[in-house]
Amino acid sequence: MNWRTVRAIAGKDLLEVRKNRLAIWSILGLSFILSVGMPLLIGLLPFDVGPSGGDLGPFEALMTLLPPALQGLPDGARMVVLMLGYFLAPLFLIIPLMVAAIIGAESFVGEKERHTLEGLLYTPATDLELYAGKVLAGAVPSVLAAYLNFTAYAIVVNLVSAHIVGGIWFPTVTALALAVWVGPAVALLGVSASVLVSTRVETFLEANQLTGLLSLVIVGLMVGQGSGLLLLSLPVLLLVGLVIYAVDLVLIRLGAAVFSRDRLMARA
Amino acid sequence: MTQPAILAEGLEKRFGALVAVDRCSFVVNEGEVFGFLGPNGAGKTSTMRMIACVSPKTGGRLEVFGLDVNERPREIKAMIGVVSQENNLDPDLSVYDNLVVFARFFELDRAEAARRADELIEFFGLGEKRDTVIEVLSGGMKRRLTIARALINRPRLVILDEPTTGLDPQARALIWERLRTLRDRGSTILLSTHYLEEAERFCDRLVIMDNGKILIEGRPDEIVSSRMGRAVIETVDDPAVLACLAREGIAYERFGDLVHITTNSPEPLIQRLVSSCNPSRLSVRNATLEDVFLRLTGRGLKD
Repeated sequence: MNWRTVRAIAGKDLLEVRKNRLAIWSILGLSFILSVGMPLLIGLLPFDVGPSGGDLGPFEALMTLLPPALQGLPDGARMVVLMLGYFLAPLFLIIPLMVAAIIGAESFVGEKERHTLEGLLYTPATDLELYAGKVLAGAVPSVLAAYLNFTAYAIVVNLVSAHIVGGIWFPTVTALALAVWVGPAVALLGVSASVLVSTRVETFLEANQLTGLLSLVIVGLMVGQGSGLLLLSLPVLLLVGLVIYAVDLVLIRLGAAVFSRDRLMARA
Repeated sequence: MTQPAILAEGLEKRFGALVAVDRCSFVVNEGEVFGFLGPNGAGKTSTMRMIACVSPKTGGRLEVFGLDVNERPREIKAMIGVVSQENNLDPDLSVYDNLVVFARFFELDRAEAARRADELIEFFGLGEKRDTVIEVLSGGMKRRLTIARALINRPRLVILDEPTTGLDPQARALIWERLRTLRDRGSTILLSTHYLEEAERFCDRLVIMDNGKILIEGRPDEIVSSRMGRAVIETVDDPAVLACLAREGIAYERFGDLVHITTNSPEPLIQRLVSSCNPSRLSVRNATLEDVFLRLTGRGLKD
Protein backbone atom coordinates (compact mmCIF):
# COMPACT_ATOMS: atom_id res chain seq x y z
CA MET A 1 0.00 0.00 0.00
CA ASN A 2 1.32 3.44 -0.98
CA TRP A 3 0.78 5.75 2.02
CA ARG A 4 1.47 8.86 -0.05
CA THR A 5 -1.58 8.05 -2.14
CA VAL A 6 -3.62 7.23 0.98
CA ARG A 7 -2.67 10.61 2.47
CA ALA A 8 -3.53 12.36 -0.80
CA ILE A 9 -7.02 10.79 -0.79
CA ALA A 10 -7.54 11.67 2.87
CA GLY A 11 -6.19 15.18 2.23
CA LYS A 12 -8.72 15.76 -0.53
CA ASP A 13 -11.61 14.68 1.70
CA LEU A 14 -10.38 16.84 4.57
CA LEU A 15 -10.11 19.83 2.24
CA GLU A 16 -13.72 19.27 1.22
CA VAL A 17 -14.82 18.96 4.86
CA ARG A 18 -13.12 22.28 5.62
CA LYS A 19 -15.12 23.87 2.80
CA ASN A 20 -18.40 22.40 4.07
CA ARG A 21 -19.59 25.19 6.36
CA LEU A 22 -22.83 23.49 7.30
CA ALA A 23 -21.00 20.43 8.60
CA ILE A 24 -18.40 22.55 10.41
CA TRP A 25 -21.04 24.67 12.15
CA SER A 26 -23.12 21.62 13.08
CA ILE A 27 -20.08 19.98 14.67
CA LEU A 28 -19.02 23.19 16.44
CA GLY A 29 -22.55 23.81 17.68
CA LEU A 30 -23.01 20.34 19.10
CA SER A 31 -19.48 20.43 20.55
CA PHE A 32 -20.30 23.67 22.35
CA ILE A 33 -23.57 22.33 23.74
CA LEU A 34 -22.14 19.04 24.97
CA SER A 35 -18.64 20.04 26.04
CA VAL A 36 -19.28 23.56 27.34
CA GLY A 37 -23.01 24.23 27.75
CA MET A 38 -23.98 21.05 29.60
CA PRO A 39 -21.21 21.10 32.24
CA LEU A 40 -21.72 24.82 32.65
CA LEU A 41 -25.42 24.28 33.30
CA ILE A 42 -24.83 21.47 35.80
CA GLY A 43 -22.08 23.45 37.54
CA LEU A 44 -24.30 26.44 37.94
CA LEU A 45 -27.19 24.48 39.46
CA PRO A 46 -27.69 25.40 43.15
CA PHE A 47 -26.51 22.14 44.73
CA ASP A 48 -26.63 22.04 48.49
CA VAL A 49 -22.97 21.83 49.54
CA GLY A 50 -23.68 21.44 53.21
CA PRO A 51 -22.32 18.51 55.30
CA SER A 52 -22.98 14.88 54.31
CA GLY A 53 -25.79 12.82 55.68
CA GLY A 54 -28.78 13.97 53.63
CA ASP A 55 -31.06 11.63 51.70
CA LEU A 56 -29.64 11.20 48.15
CA GLY A 57 -32.30 8.72 47.12
CA PRO A 58 -31.35 6.51 44.17
CA PHE A 59 -27.89 8.13 43.94
CA GLU A 60 -26.90 6.94 47.42
CA ALA A 61 -25.63 3.58 46.21
CA LEU A 62 -23.65 5.18 43.38
CA MET A 63 -22.01 7.64 45.76
CA THR A 64 -20.40 4.79 47.62
CA LEU A 65 -18.60 3.80 44.39
CA LEU A 66 -16.73 7.12 44.10
CA PRO A 67 -12.95 7.07 44.69
CA PRO A 68 -11.94 7.33 48.39
CA ALA A 69 -10.47 10.81 47.81
CA LEU A 70 -13.91 12.10 46.81
CA GLN A 71 -15.91 10.17 49.40
CA GLY A 72 -15.33 12.72 52.11
CA LEU A 73 -16.90 15.58 50.17
CA PRO A 74 -20.21 17.11 51.18
CA ASP A 75 -23.27 15.54 49.52
CA GLY A 76 -23.79 18.48 47.14
CA ALA A 77 -20.18 18.36 45.97
CA ARG A 78 -20.37 14.60 45.52
CA MET A 79 -23.53 15.10 43.47
CA VAL A 80 -21.68 17.54 41.21
CA VAL A 81 -18.81 15.06 40.87
CA LEU A 82 -21.21 12.25 40.04
CA MET A 83 -23.04 14.30 37.43
CA LEU A 84 -20.05 15.94 35.76
CA GLY A 85 -17.44 13.27 36.23
CA TYR A 86 -19.48 10.19 35.46
CA PHE A 87 -22.97 10.70 34.05
CA LEU A 88 -22.20 13.39 31.50
CA ALA A 89 -18.64 12.44 30.58
CA PRO A 90 -19.61 9.81 27.97
CA LEU A 91 -21.65 12.44 26.16
CA PHE A 92 -18.53 13.96 24.64
CA LEU A 93 -18.11 10.71 22.68
CA ILE A 94 -21.09 11.76 20.57
CA ILE A 95 -18.86 14.37 18.92
CA PRO A 96 -16.24 12.03 17.40
CA LEU A 97 -19.03 9.67 16.44
CA MET A 98 -20.89 12.48 14.69
CA VAL A 99 -17.77 13.74 12.90
CA ALA A 100 -16.92 10.22 11.82
CA ALA A 101 -20.46 9.55 10.65
CA ILE A 102 -20.67 12.77 8.61
CA ILE A 103 -17.33 12.27 6.87
CA GLY A 104 -17.56 8.50 6.58
CA ALA A 105 -21.12 8.39 5.28
CA GLU A 106 -20.19 10.98 2.67
CA SER A 107 -17.03 9.16 1.61
CA PHE A 108 -18.15 7.02 -1.32
CA VAL A 109 -21.85 7.60 -1.76
CA GLY A 110 -21.34 11.35 -1.42
CA GLU A 111 -18.74 11.30 -4.17
CA LYS A 112 -21.09 9.25 -6.25
CA GLU A 113 -23.90 11.74 -5.74
CA ARG A 114 -21.61 14.63 -6.66
CA HIS A 115 -20.36 12.64 -9.68
CA THR A 116 -16.76 12.94 -8.50
CA LEU A 117 -16.15 9.27 -7.80
CA GLU A 118 -15.35 8.32 -11.39
CA GLY A 119 -12.47 10.80 -11.54
CA LEU A 120 -10.99 9.27 -8.41
CA LEU A 121 -11.27 5.77 -9.83
CA TYR A 122 -9.21 6.80 -12.86
CA THR A 123 -6.19 7.55 -10.68
CA PRO A 124 -3.53 4.91 -9.94
CA ALA A 125 -4.86 4.46 -6.40
CA THR A 126 -5.69 0.83 -5.64
CA ASP A 127 -8.98 -0.23 -4.04
CA LEU A 128 -7.21 -0.72 -0.71
CA GLU A 129 -5.59 2.75 -0.89
CA LEU A 130 -8.91 4.34 -1.75
CA TYR A 131 -10.60 2.65 1.16
CA ALA A 132 -7.77 3.40 3.58
CA GLY A 133 -7.75 7.05 2.45
CA LYS A 134 -11.44 7.38 3.19
CA VAL A 135 -11.07 5.75 6.61
CA LEU A 136 -8.11 8.00 7.44
CA ALA A 137 -10.05 11.09 6.33
CA GLY A 138 -12.76 10.25 8.83
CA ALA A 139 -10.50 9.01 11.62
CA VAL A 140 -8.15 11.98 11.90
CA PRO A 141 -10.74 14.73 12.51
CA SER A 142 -12.96 12.53 14.66
CA VAL A 143 -10.14 11.48 17.00
CA LEU A 144 -8.97 15.10 17.08
CA ALA A 145 -12.52 16.19 17.86
CA ALA A 146 -12.67 13.63 20.67
CA TYR A 147 -9.52 15.01 22.31
CA LEU A 148 -10.41 18.67 21.81
CA ASN A 149 -13.88 18.21 23.20
CA PHE A 150 -12.62 16.27 26.16
CA THR A 151 -10.09 19.01 26.89
CA ALA A 152 -12.79 21.66 26.64
CA TYR A 153 -15.08 19.59 28.85
CA ALA A 154 -12.33 19.11 31.44
CA ILE A 155 -11.58 22.83 31.57
CA VAL A 156 -15.24 23.80 31.98
CA VAL A 157 -15.87 21.10 34.59
CA ASN A 158 -12.99 22.33 36.72
CA LEU A 159 -13.93 25.96 36.21
CA VAL A 160 -17.47 25.43 37.48
CA SER A 161 -16.78 22.88 40.21
CA ALA A 162 -13.27 23.39 41.60
CA HIS A 163 -14.58 25.76 44.27
CA ILE A 164 -17.20 23.20 45.32
CA VAL A 165 -14.98 20.11 45.22
CA GLY A 166 -12.00 21.94 46.67
CA GLY A 167 -9.60 22.02 43.73
CA ILE A 168 -8.96 20.66 40.24
CA TRP A 169 -10.31 17.13 40.26
CA PHE A 170 -11.21 16.29 36.65
CA PRO A 171 -10.32 14.17 34.71
CA THR A 172 -10.66 11.16 36.94
CA VAL A 173 -8.78 8.01 35.94
CA THR A 174 -11.89 6.49 34.39
CA ALA A 175 -12.72 9.69 32.50
CA LEU A 176 -9.17 9.78 31.17
CA ALA A 177 -9.48 6.16 30.09
CA LEU A 178 -12.76 7.03 28.42
CA ALA A 179 -11.10 9.86 26.51
CA VAL A 180 -7.77 8.33 25.61
CA TRP A 181 -8.79 4.70 25.13
CA VAL A 182 -12.52 4.50 24.39
CA GLY A 183 -12.79 7.84 22.53
CA PRO A 184 -10.59 6.88 19.56
CA ALA A 185 -12.18 3.42 19.51
CA VAL A 186 -15.64 4.99 19.19
CA ALA A 187 -14.35 7.42 16.55
CA LEU A 188 -12.92 4.54 14.54
CA LEU A 189 -16.16 2.61 14.98
CA GLY A 190 -18.02 5.55 13.48
CA VAL A 191 -15.62 5.80 10.58
CA SER A 192 -15.29 2.11 9.80
CA ALA A 193 -19.04 1.52 9.95
CA SER A 194 -20.01 4.65 8.00
CA VAL A 195 -17.41 4.13 5.23
CA LEU A 196 -18.56 0.54 4.87
CA VAL A 197 -22.19 1.66 4.71
CA SER A 198 -21.22 4.36 2.21
CA THR A 199 -19.91 1.77 -0.25
CA ARG A 200 -23.12 -0.23 -0.12
CA VAL A 201 -25.97 2.29 -0.26
CA GLU A 202 -27.34 4.50 -3.02
CA THR A 203 -27.76 7.86 -1.30
CA PHE A 204 -26.02 9.95 1.35
CA LEU A 205 -29.31 10.22 3.26
CA GLU A 206 -29.53 6.44 3.46
CA ALA A 207 -25.93 6.24 4.69
CA ASN A 208 -26.53 8.95 7.28
CA GLN A 209 -29.64 7.27 8.64
CA LEU A 210 -27.89 3.94 8.98
CA THR A 211 -24.81 5.40 10.67
CA GLY A 212 -27.12 7.30 13.06
CA LEU A 213 -27.77 3.93 14.70
CA LEU A 214 -24.21 4.11 16.05
CA SER A 215 -25.36 6.59 18.68
CA LEU A 216 -26.82 3.53 20.43
CA VAL A 217 -23.23 2.79 21.52
CA ILE A 218 -23.16 6.08 23.43
CA VAL A 219 -26.58 5.42 24.87
CA GLY A 220 -25.25 2.06 26.04
CA LEU A 221 -22.27 3.69 27.73
CA MET A 222 -24.51 6.23 29.45
CA VAL A 223 -26.87 3.52 30.65
CA GLY A 224 -23.79 1.67 31.88
CA GLN A 225 -22.75 4.73 33.84
CA GLY A 226 -26.22 5.30 35.22
CA SER A 227 -26.59 1.71 36.31
CA GLY A 228 -23.18 1.75 37.93
CA LEU A 229 -21.78 -0.94 35.67
CA LEU A 230 -18.97 1.19 34.30
CA LEU A 231 -18.73 3.62 37.18
CA LEU A 232 -15.21 3.75 38.59
CA SER A 233 -14.47 0.54 36.79
CA LEU A 234 -11.27 0.99 34.87
CA PRO A 235 -11.00 -2.69 33.86
CA VAL A 236 -14.51 -2.62 32.40
CA LEU A 237 -13.71 0.54 30.46
CA LEU A 238 -10.52 -1.00 29.11
CA LEU A 239 -12.47 -4.09 28.11
CA VAL A 240 -15.17 -2.01 26.41
CA GLY A 241 -12.46 -0.15 24.47
CA LEU A 242 -10.82 -3.42 23.49
CA VAL A 243 -14.09 -4.86 22.23
CA ILE A 244 -14.82 -1.71 20.20
CA TYR A 245 -11.29 -1.76 18.69
CA ALA A 246 -11.83 -5.39 17.73
CA VAL A 247 -15.13 -4.49 16.05
CA ASP A 248 -13.34 -1.59 14.29
CA LEU A 249 -10.72 -3.94 12.93
CA VAL A 250 -13.32 -6.42 11.69
CA LEU A 251 -15.32 -3.64 10.01
CA ILE A 252 -12.26 -2.11 8.33
CA ARG A 253 -11.06 -5.46 7.04
CA LEU A 254 -14.55 -6.41 5.92
CA GLY A 255 -15.04 -3.05 4.20
CA ALA A 256 -11.71 -3.27 2.37
CA ALA A 257 -12.41 -6.87 1.37
CA VAL A 258 -15.85 -6.23 -0.10
CA PHE A 259 -14.98 -2.85 -1.66
CA SER A 260 -15.08 -3.11 -5.43
CA ARG A 261 -14.63 -0.18 -7.78
CA ASP A 262 -16.20 -2.21 -10.57
CA ARG A 263 -19.39 -2.53 -8.51
CA LEU A 264 -19.31 1.18 -7.73
CA MET A 265 -18.71 2.06 -11.37
CA ALA A 266 -21.56 -0.14 -12.46
CA ARG A 267 -23.87 1.79 -10.12
CA ALA A 268 -22.34 5.21 -10.87
CA MET B 1 8.26 -2.92 -34.92
CA THR B 2 7.17 -0.35 -32.35
CA GLN B 3 4.84 -1.35 -29.58
CA PRO B 4 1.26 -0.15 -30.04
CA ALA B 5 -0.30 2.16 -27.46
CA ILE B 6 -3.34 -0.09 -27.29
CA LEU B 7 -3.78 -3.65 -28.49
CA ALA B 8 -7.20 -5.28 -28.28
CA GLU B 9 -7.91 -8.79 -29.51
CA GLY B 10 -11.31 -10.38 -29.12
CA LEU B 11 -12.05 -7.92 -26.34
CA GLU B 12 -15.24 -8.65 -24.49
CA LYS B 13 -17.25 -7.04 -21.69
CA ARG B 14 -20.30 -8.71 -20.25
CA PHE B 15 -22.67 -7.45 -17.57
CA GLY B 16 -24.48 -10.68 -16.76
CA ALA B 17 -26.37 -11.68 -19.89
CA LEU B 18 -25.74 -8.31 -21.58
CA VAL B 19 -22.77 -8.23 -23.95
CA ALA B 20 -21.61 -4.60 -23.97
CA VAL B 21 -18.45 -5.22 -26.01
CA ASP B 22 -18.49 -8.21 -28.30
CA ARG B 23 -15.11 -9.64 -29.37
CA CYS B 24 -13.63 -6.37 -30.62
CA SER B 25 -10.12 -6.16 -32.06
CA PHE B 26 -8.19 -2.99 -32.87
CA VAL B 27 -4.76 -1.45 -32.57
CA VAL B 28 -3.96 2.15 -31.66
CA ASN B 29 -0.44 3.27 -32.49
CA GLU B 30 1.52 5.70 -30.35
CA GLY B 31 1.06 9.31 -31.47
CA GLU B 32 -2.19 8.50 -33.26
CA VAL B 33 -5.64 10.04 -32.80
CA PHE B 34 -8.10 7.17 -32.76
CA GLY B 35 -11.86 7.62 -32.67
CA PHE B 36 -14.77 5.52 -31.48
CA LEU B 37 -18.03 6.38 -33.20
CA GLY B 38 -21.40 4.92 -32.55
CA PRO B 39 -24.79 5.59 -31.01
CA ASN B 40 -25.49 5.42 -27.28
CA GLY B 41 -25.14 1.84 -26.06
CA ALA B 42 -22.77 0.90 -28.88
CA GLY B 43 -20.05 -0.13 -26.42
CA LYS B 44 -17.73 2.88 -26.76
CA THR B 45 -17.72 3.89 -23.11
CA SER B 46 -17.41 0.28 -21.92
CA THR B 47 -14.39 -0.15 -24.17
CA MET B 48 -12.83 3.08 -22.93
CA ARG B 49 -13.42 2.12 -19.30
CA MET B 50 -11.67 -1.19 -19.85
CA ILE B 51 -8.71 0.62 -21.41
CA ALA B 52 -8.74 3.04 -18.45
CA CYS B 53 -8.60 0.02 -16.09
CA VAL B 54 -11.73 0.94 -14.14
CA SER B 55 -13.87 -1.85 -15.53
CA PRO B 56 -12.23 -5.28 -15.89
CA LYS B 57 -12.49 -7.02 -19.24
CA THR B 58 -14.43 -10.27 -19.14
CA GLY B 59 -12.78 -11.79 -22.18
CA GLY B 60 -10.10 -11.38 -24.82
CA ARG B 61 -6.80 -9.54 -24.70
CA LEU B 62 -6.28 -5.87 -23.92
CA GLU B 63 -2.88 -4.26 -23.48
CA VAL B 64 -1.94 -0.64 -22.97
CA PHE B 65 1.71 0.11 -23.77
CA GLY B 66 2.32 -3.63 -23.61
CA LEU B 67 0.78 -4.06 -20.14
CA ASP B 68 -2.28 -6.19 -19.46
CA VAL B 69 -5.15 -4.07 -18.12
CA ASN B 70 -6.30 -6.63 -15.57
CA GLU B 71 -2.79 -7.35 -14.28
CA ARG B 72 -1.02 -3.97 -14.33
CA PRO B 73 -3.72 -1.32 -13.81
CA ARG B 74 -1.63 0.86 -11.53
CA GLU B 75 1.22 1.33 -14.02
CA ILE B 76 -1.22 1.89 -16.86
CA LYS B 77 -3.20 4.50 -14.95
CA ALA B 78 -0.03 6.40 -14.18
CA MET B 79 0.51 6.74 -17.96
CA ILE B 80 -2.98 7.76 -19.02
CA GLY B 81 -5.35 10.67 -18.55
CA VAL B 82 -9.09 10.14 -18.74
CA VAL B 83 -11.87 12.60 -19.51
CA SER B 84 -15.19 10.93 -18.89
CA GLN B 85 -18.55 12.01 -20.30
CA GLU B 86 -19.46 13.94 -17.16
CA ASN B 87 -17.45 16.77 -15.64
CA ASN B 88 -16.53 14.94 -12.45
CA LEU B 89 -14.78 17.90 -10.86
CA ASP B 90 -15.01 18.63 -7.15
CA PRO B 91 -17.67 21.35 -6.99
CA ASP B 92 -16.52 22.78 -3.67
CA LEU B 93 -12.92 23.29 -4.77
CA SER B 94 -11.42 26.03 -6.90
CA VAL B 95 -10.02 25.54 -10.41
CA TYR B 96 -6.50 25.50 -8.98
CA ASP B 97 -7.33 23.16 -6.07
CA ASN B 98 -9.03 20.69 -8.40
CA LEU B 99 -5.80 20.37 -10.37
CA VAL B 100 -3.42 20.29 -7.41
CA VAL B 101 -5.48 17.78 -5.43
CA PHE B 102 -5.71 15.50 -8.47
CA ALA B 103 -1.97 15.81 -9.09
CA ARG B 104 -1.28 14.44 -5.62
CA PHE B 105 -2.93 11.15 -6.61
CA PHE B 106 -0.15 10.73 -9.16
CA GLU B 107 2.49 11.16 -6.46
CA LEU B 108 3.61 14.58 -7.65
CA ASP B 109 5.11 16.70 -4.88
CA ARG B 110 3.40 19.98 -3.95
CA ALA B 111 5.76 22.22 -5.90
CA GLU B 112 5.53 20.18 -9.10
CA ALA B 113 1.75 19.87 -8.73
CA ALA B 114 1.45 23.64 -8.36
CA ARG B 115 3.72 24.27 -11.35
CA ARG B 116 1.78 21.91 -13.61
CA ALA B 117 -1.56 23.27 -12.39
CA ASP B 118 -0.58 26.82 -13.33
CA GLU B 119 0.80 25.63 -16.66
CA LEU B 120 -2.48 23.86 -17.54
CA ILE B 121 -4.62 26.75 -16.30
CA GLU B 122 -2.69 28.93 -18.72
CA PHE B 123 -2.89 26.41 -21.59
CA PHE B 124 -6.66 26.11 -21.29
CA GLY B 125 -7.26 29.84 -20.87
CA LEU B 126 -8.60 29.60 -17.31
CA GLY B 127 -6.20 32.12 -15.75
CA GLU B 128 -8.92 34.55 -14.72
CA LYS B 129 -10.85 31.76 -13.01
CA ARG B 130 -7.88 30.24 -11.17
CA ASP B 131 -9.36 30.72 -7.69
CA THR B 132 -13.01 30.44 -8.64
CA VAL B 133 -15.05 27.50 -7.33
CA ILE B 134 -16.27 25.10 -9.97
CA GLU B 135 -19.97 25.68 -9.38
CA VAL B 136 -19.93 29.11 -11.01
CA LEU B 137 -17.98 28.14 -14.14
CA SER B 138 -19.68 27.84 -17.52
CA GLY B 139 -20.09 24.39 -19.12
CA GLY B 140 -17.25 25.08 -21.54
CA MET B 141 -14.88 26.12 -18.77
CA LYS B 142 -15.73 23.06 -16.70
CA ARG B 143 -15.03 20.87 -19.70
CA ARG B 144 -11.69 22.57 -20.34
CA LEU B 145 -10.78 22.10 -16.70
CA THR B 146 -11.79 18.43 -16.81
CA ILE B 147 -9.47 17.96 -19.79
CA ALA B 148 -6.73 19.96 -18.06
CA ARG B 149 -7.04 17.72 -15.00
CA ALA B 150 -6.63 14.63 -17.16
CA LEU B 151 -3.32 16.03 -18.40
CA ILE B 152 -1.86 16.78 -14.96
CA ASN B 153 0.27 13.61 -15.00
CA ARG B 154 1.51 14.34 -18.55
CA PRO B 155 -0.07 11.16 -19.90
CA ARG B 156 1.24 9.23 -22.88
CA LEU B 157 -2.35 8.33 -23.72
CA VAL B 158 -5.34 10.65 -23.34
CA ILE B 159 -8.81 9.10 -23.36
CA LEU B 160 -11.67 11.49 -24.10
CA ASP B 161 -15.24 10.23 -23.87
CA GLU B 162 -17.50 12.71 -25.68
CA PRO B 163 -15.27 15.70 -24.90
CA THR B 164 -17.50 18.33 -26.52
CA THR B 165 -21.03 17.00 -26.08
CA GLY B 166 -23.48 19.61 -24.83
CA LEU B 167 -21.20 22.57 -25.53
CA ASP B 168 -21.90 25.52 -27.77
CA PRO B 169 -19.95 25.75 -31.07
CA GLN B 170 -17.52 28.34 -29.70
CA ALA B 171 -16.63 26.23 -26.65
CA ARG B 172 -16.29 23.16 -28.87
CA ALA B 173 -13.98 24.97 -31.25
CA LEU B 174 -11.76 26.06 -28.37
CA ILE B 175 -11.49 22.52 -27.03
CA TRP B 176 -10.69 21.04 -30.44
CA GLU B 177 -8.03 23.69 -30.91
CA ARG B 178 -6.35 22.66 -27.66
CA LEU B 179 -6.68 18.99 -28.52
CA ARG B 180 -5.06 19.69 -31.86
CA THR B 181 -2.09 21.22 -30.02
CA LEU B 182 -1.86 18.08 -27.92
CA ARG B 183 -1.97 15.95 -31.05
CA ASP B 184 0.79 18.04 -32.62
CA ARG B 185 2.91 17.49 -29.52
CA GLY B 186 2.68 13.76 -30.19
CA SER B 187 0.17 12.64 -27.58
CA THR B 188 -1.79 9.49 -28.34
CA ILE B 189 -5.46 10.39 -28.19
CA LEU B 190 -8.42 8.05 -27.99
CA LEU B 191 -11.80 9.69 -28.25
CA SER B 192 -15.46 9.08 -28.75
CA THR B 193 -17.77 11.71 -30.16
CA HIS B 194 -21.16 12.26 -31.70
CA TYR B 195 -19.84 15.07 -33.88
CA LEU B 196 -18.93 13.18 -37.02
CA GLU B 197 -17.59 16.11 -38.95
CA GLU B 198 -15.18 16.80 -36.07
CA ALA B 199 -14.18 13.14 -35.90
CA GLU B 200 -13.53 13.14 -39.63
CA ARG B 201 -11.27 16.16 -39.34
CA PHE B 202 -9.49 15.19 -36.15
CA CYS B 203 -9.02 11.42 -36.16
CA ASP B 204 -6.22 9.63 -37.99
CA ARG B 205 -8.22 6.42 -37.79
CA LEU B 206 -11.50 5.39 -36.28
CA VAL B 207 -13.90 2.54 -35.72
CA ILE B 208 -17.68 2.64 -35.98
CA MET B 209 -19.37 0.54 -33.32
CA ASP B 210 -22.90 -0.69 -32.89
CA ASN B 211 -24.36 -3.20 -30.45
CA GLY B 212 -20.95 -3.88 -28.96
CA LYS B 213 -19.34 -4.77 -32.30
CA ILE B 214 -16.91 -2.93 -34.53
CA LEU B 215 -18.61 -2.49 -37.89
CA ILE B 216 -15.72 -0.87 -39.72
CA GLU B 217 -12.22 0.44 -39.06
CA GLY B 218 -9.94 2.71 -41.05
CA ARG B 219 -9.02 6.26 -41.99
CA PRO B 220 -12.12 8.49 -42.12
CA ASP B 221 -11.67 9.45 -45.79
CA GLU B 222 -10.95 5.86 -46.78
CA ILE B 223 -13.99 4.57 -44.91
CA VAL B 224 -16.23 7.09 -46.64
CA SER B 225 -14.80 6.63 -50.14
CA SER B 226 -14.68 2.85 -49.94
CA ARG B 227 -18.19 2.49 -48.56
CA MET B 228 -20.01 5.44 -50.08
CA GLY B 229 -18.15 6.98 -52.96
CA ARG B 230 -17.47 10.72 -53.20
CA ALA B 231 -20.98 12.15 -53.13
CA VAL B 232 -24.55 11.51 -52.07
CA ILE B 233 -27.44 12.67 -54.20
CA GLU B 234 -30.60 13.11 -52.19
CA THR B 235 -34.07 13.17 -53.66
CA VAL B 236 -37.62 12.68 -52.46
CA ASP B 237 -39.09 9.26 -51.71
CA ASP B 238 -41.73 9.43 -54.42
CA PRO B 239 -43.23 6.32 -56.15
CA ALA B 240 -42.72 7.85 -59.59
CA VAL B 241 -39.08 8.68 -58.83
CA LEU B 242 -38.47 5.19 -57.43
CA ALA B 243 -39.99 3.62 -60.50
CA CYS B 244 -37.79 5.80 -62.70
CA LEU B 245 -34.65 4.88 -60.76
CA ALA B 246 -35.49 1.20 -61.13
CA ARG B 247 -36.13 1.67 -64.84
CA GLU B 248 -32.79 3.46 -65.27
CA GLY B 249 -30.94 0.82 -63.26
CA ILE B 250 -29.69 3.34 -60.68
CA ALA B 251 -29.02 1.83 -57.21
CA TYR B 252 -30.57 3.72 -54.31
CA GLU B 253 -31.32 3.45 -50.61
CA ARG B 254 -34.39 4.75 -48.78
CA PHE B 255 -33.99 6.58 -45.45
CA GLY B 256 -37.19 8.06 -44.06
CA ASP B 257 -38.69 10.38 -46.68
CA LEU B 258 -35.43 10.61 -48.62
CA VAL B 259 -33.76 8.51 -51.25
CA HIS B 260 -29.94 8.36 -51.30
CA ILE B 261 -27.90 7.65 -54.39
CA THR B 262 -24.15 7.38 -53.86
CA THR B 263 -21.65 8.02 -56.60
CA ASN B 264 -18.10 9.06 -57.43
CA SER B 265 -19.30 11.12 -60.40
CA PRO B 266 -22.30 13.17 -59.31
CA GLU B 267 -22.51 15.65 -62.25
CA PRO B 268 -23.50 13.24 -65.11
CA LEU B 269 -25.83 11.32 -62.78
CA ILE B 270 -27.65 14.52 -61.77
CA GLN B 271 -28.14 15.42 -65.47
CA ARG B 272 -29.49 11.94 -66.12
CA LEU B 273 -31.85 12.10 -63.14
CA VAL B 274 -33.19 15.51 -64.09
CA SER B 275 -33.81 14.51 -67.67
CA SER B 276 -35.25 11.04 -66.97
CA CYS B 277 -36.97 11.19 -63.58
CA ASN B 278 -37.68 14.90 -63.14
CA PRO B 279 -37.80 14.76 -59.30
CA SER B 280 -39.44 17.63 -57.41
CA ARG B 281 -36.32 18.08 -55.30
CA LEU B 282 -32.70 17.12 -55.83
CA SER B 283 -29.54 17.95 -53.91
CA VAL B 284 -25.98 16.79 -53.85
CA ARG B 285 -23.45 16.79 -51.02
CA ASN B 286 -20.20 15.13 -50.03
CA ALA B 287 -20.58 11.67 -48.53
CA THR B 288 -19.91 11.53 -44.78
CA LEU B 289 -19.37 9.07 -41.98
CA GLU B 290 -23.02 9.54 -41.08
CA ASP B 291 -23.91 8.07 -44.48
CA VAL B 292 -21.59 5.15 -43.82
CA PHE B 293 -23.29 4.55 -40.51
CA LEU B 294 -26.72 4.80 -42.08
CA ARG B 295 -25.74 2.25 -44.66
CA LEU B 296 -24.20 -0.10 -42.11
CA THR B 297 -26.95 0.00 -39.53
CA GLY B 298 -29.99 1.48 -41.21
CA ARG B 299 -30.20 4.31 -38.70
CA GLY B 300 -28.44 7.54 -37.72
CA LEU B 301 -25.67 7.90 -35.13
CA LYS B 302 -27.83 10.04 -32.88
CA ASP B 303 -30.92 7.78 -33.03
